Amino acid sequence: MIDPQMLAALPHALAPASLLCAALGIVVGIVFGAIPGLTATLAIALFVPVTFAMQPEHGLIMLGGIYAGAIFGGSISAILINVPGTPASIVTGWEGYAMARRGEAPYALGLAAVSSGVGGAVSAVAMLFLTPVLARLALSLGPPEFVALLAFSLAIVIVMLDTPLLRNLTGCLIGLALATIGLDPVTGVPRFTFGSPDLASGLDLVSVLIGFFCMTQALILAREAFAGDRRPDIRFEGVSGMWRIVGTAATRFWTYVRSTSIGIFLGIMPAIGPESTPFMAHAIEKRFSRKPEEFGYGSSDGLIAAETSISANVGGSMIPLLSLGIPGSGAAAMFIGALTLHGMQPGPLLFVDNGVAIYTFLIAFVATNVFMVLIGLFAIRYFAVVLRVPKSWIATFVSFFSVFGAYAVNNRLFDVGIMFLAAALALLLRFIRIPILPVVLGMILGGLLEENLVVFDITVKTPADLLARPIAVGLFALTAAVLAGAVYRRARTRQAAGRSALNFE
Amino acid sequence: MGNAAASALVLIGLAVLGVESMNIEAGSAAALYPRVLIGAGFLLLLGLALASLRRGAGQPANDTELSLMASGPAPAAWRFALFCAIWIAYPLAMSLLGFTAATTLALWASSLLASRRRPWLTLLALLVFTVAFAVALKTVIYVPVPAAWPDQLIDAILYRY
Repeated sequence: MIDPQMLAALPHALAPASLLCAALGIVVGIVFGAIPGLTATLAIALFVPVTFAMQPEHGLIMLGGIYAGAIFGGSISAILINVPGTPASIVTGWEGYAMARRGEAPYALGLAAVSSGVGGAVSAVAMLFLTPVLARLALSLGPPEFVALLAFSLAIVIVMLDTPLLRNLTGCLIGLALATIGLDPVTGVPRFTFGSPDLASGLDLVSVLIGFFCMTQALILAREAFAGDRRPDIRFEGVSGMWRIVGTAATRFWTYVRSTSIGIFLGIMPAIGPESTPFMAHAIEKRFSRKPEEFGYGSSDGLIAAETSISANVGGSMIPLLSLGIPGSGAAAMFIGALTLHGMQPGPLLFVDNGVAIYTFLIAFVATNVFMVLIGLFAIRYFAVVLRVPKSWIATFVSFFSVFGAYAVNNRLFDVGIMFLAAALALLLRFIRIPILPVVLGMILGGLLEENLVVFDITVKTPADLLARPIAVGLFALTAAVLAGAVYRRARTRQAAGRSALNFE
Repeated sequence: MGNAAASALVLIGLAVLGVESMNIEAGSAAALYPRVLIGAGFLLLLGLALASLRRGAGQPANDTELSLMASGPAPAAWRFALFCAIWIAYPLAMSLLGFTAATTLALWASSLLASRRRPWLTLLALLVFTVAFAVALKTVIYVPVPAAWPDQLIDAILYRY
């Protein structure tokens, strides 16, 4: 049944002032998202005070626009120059940059805009109708389910990459080991801090990711430029393929369903932000795709899955925030500040005390995502400016924004040093063919995994304790099946390759 | 740099962490988890490195971008080394010269490595960009950056008038 407050909110949500706030937020978000190091969280944090002078619903709508715009903005630089503007855009860059190198930059950008909009709009509808139900489900998950879910996420990435399983596993262990730097999350004992108080809170994730993906790309671009390769080796052939974008999007119904579901579900999980979601969605889509061999080499399905899941995660992360006051991501946590600033208390009473304002925000969030598709598609031609810039200039400015981005997170030069070390590590790992993605996922999920492992160790003493948690058992069984299946499949592939080599001989 | 050298560097890094893990409070549960991870990572990487060595020591990675980075014509290699040096020195220079001067100089030096056409015009354009960015930092983004006299001058102009 539709809440009467929802109907009362509809005209407010579609009022010109609300739509203007949404459009403004999207533009600001796209600019922030496209600059490496400036994350959605940072953008929202900076603009929360700006909304103080606005009507509460208008402020929230603008912040929602910033959030959605920043997530899409991160994909623009990822697609055009392979520099993810936000950590969430890593997988988008993987597929989008390969498409751009084939001369399909407008197509990739258009698909990213449409997928981002679809994921965001569906998650906004989910926010409207499923908030209470899904929040209750998330609350029923305890540490055993979390450990199982995190193990499943790591296993999926280990088996889905084309590189040998042992190399992927090594990368994952390195990432998990790096995540242990800092104070132990349970006992508070310092680990690997080498006496430095700056390391007590661990390696700053944003700085490390800037080092892994932005600074290394700047170095690669610089080296190519100095070797005589002046401009980005991608072509931009106008925006004549608008119908192709719409046509592709229209025929990927199940890709959207799967990726949106994954995004919303992981968004609801506390602390699993949009950074790790695209890895999972991309890996699962590869499993369902008719052309899995294209994944990682410019697959439109891979791009749609990644981009849709990120935006769906944005809406998903707001569900526990609005209904329980528990943020599903760092950026969602910033909304607590915004709500409090406007005298609203996130939690079960939010819809009772401020129903119209919140429903206005939620309905406008659907409109925001539709707006983002339009703005994204319209602005594609202007993104092409990047491609006219010589590589040496891109390298110079990416280096500058990498250093600045690493510094701006905590306003300390120490993080810039961490960023440089991360870049060096990424280059070394690439040199010895250890993929960087398991390292990244290990780092992102490492802290959460350790915390839950400790509680798991205390609460699950016997196999019977574990069997009493059917969701956890199911996820562990699924993880074991995925790993066993991957080992079996690769062994068979190797056997077949050996046989065909013998035949040639 | 060959595979063996790169593997050795990563292994040394893991070994350093392994040794450091011995300094974590004795008997603490906080030590077990990282020791297991580092130990397993070290052994796996050692196994992979030995397997690579057996197949052919010192083979470079099959990655065109990295191959280019590790080789290429000498002038390009020198310019690349200078590019790295500029950006490593930039944060250090920032604490001495302040944000505006250090950023302008780093961007200018970096741009000169690629092209020396109209250097003074480039410097002027970069100065305008940096000052505009510094103003945005102070008035919109509120990121406090290291300041020297040019930054203090911008502050004075912004807040006095």
